[in-house]
Amino acid sequence: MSCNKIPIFKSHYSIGGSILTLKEEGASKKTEPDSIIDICKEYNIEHCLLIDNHIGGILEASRSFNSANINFNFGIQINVCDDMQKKNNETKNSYWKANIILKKPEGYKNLIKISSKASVDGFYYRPRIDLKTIKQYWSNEEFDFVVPFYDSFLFKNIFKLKSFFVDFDFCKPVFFIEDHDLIYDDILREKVVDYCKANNYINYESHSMHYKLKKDFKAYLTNRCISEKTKLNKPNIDWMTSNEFCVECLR
Amino acid sequence: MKQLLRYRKNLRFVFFDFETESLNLSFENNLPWQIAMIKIDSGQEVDSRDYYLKWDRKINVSEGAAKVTGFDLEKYKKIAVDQATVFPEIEEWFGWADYIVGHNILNFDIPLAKEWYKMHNKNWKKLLPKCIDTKCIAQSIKSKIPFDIENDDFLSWQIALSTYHERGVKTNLSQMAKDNNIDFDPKKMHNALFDIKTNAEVFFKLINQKEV
Repeated sequence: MSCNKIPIFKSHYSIGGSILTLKEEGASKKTEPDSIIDICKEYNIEHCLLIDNHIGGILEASRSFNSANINFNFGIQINVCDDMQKKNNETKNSYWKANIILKKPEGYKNLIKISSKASVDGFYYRPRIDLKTIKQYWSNEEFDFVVPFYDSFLFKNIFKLKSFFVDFDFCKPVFFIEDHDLIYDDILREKVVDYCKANNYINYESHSMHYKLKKDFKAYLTNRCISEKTKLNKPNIDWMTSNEFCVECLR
Repeated sequence: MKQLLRYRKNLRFVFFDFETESLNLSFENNLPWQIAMIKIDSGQEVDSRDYYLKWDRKINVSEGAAKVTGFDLEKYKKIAVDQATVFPEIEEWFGWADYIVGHNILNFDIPLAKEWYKMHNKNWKKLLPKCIDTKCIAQSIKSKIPFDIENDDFLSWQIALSTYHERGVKTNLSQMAKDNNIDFDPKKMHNALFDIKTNAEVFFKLINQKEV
């Protein structure tokens, strides 16, 4: 597939966040959920990112991607807060999302430590970590710090009336830009591009995928509603208005 | 220097509202069975439309939703018209308007209108700068969230407010009508045409309370 966007998959290890599996090439039946490995083969995707909400899928991913000779980088999406020790009503919803991408296998141990810190020490309704703690385990040789398009500090500052000030003194972050036909995509794109220009950061076009085809959106949404304990006729999930988080729309 | 809406007397507004099968935000799972619109030109209502819409699949309004919206299947069968014949008029009305106004439109009606535009291969993005969501303005008044007309982007500000919640703060249309001393028959609520006429009254009250 000829595409200028970085393909980003999320697997079912991100509970409620994807209906794609990491089963080995050819191991899924037609009646079963689609495997990211089979999708990569079908769409000739030779290199992709797998970014999950936690580290659990890395073993299966390594086995399946390696046996299919597909290059991939594994990453985790974490919730970043100002101070992970502060656990009160004020800090409950005060977090933004960041992706930590493994550049080489040696980083695995530190990635586990970051993930554990967020899940144990910082946990307050959800795993959370602050930049000060990430910094303790950070190595620019082992990781890339990626700011996702959605739910980043920029997103939250614009569309959630937050005021995060982020100091990247330990890394040079990379910003992702996406377009899934959501009503705020163009506004957010402009803000990200401006921010990168002002701070001399790089941004890349990317495309997040949580299901294979547009028609699979209903299955994805059903899964999401189960996870959120809501109903399909009243999902009550902000901005669940696009069926373009799929491989079909990767172009 | 930008001028406040309250002082711009020659504006053309289209107020609109969908009644739908459910509260899902995708066309695949939720089709509008009714659209109502009114045109207001320079402060005067000049035209209105109220259509029941027929699609290429059966409308499936749940019992609960039918009760809330007053959906009557027999009436629907009698008067529903093919969506394809209605769409050009929607596009023409939205094109005519300086502003497209509704209650909770950014979080509900506009995403559905987007799907309708895409179905007809039309550019839905041109609707966005015209959108005014009265629920957002109401929320900003009640939660005391400022808007800087010179420096804030009106659409971004509204999008932020469209998902803003504060415990105990009610901004639904009936509450806003009540707060603003507008006669409002709760039994008629969710009749699309009735809703938007009330919505228009609420809007003209709100813009006198908020500097937008």
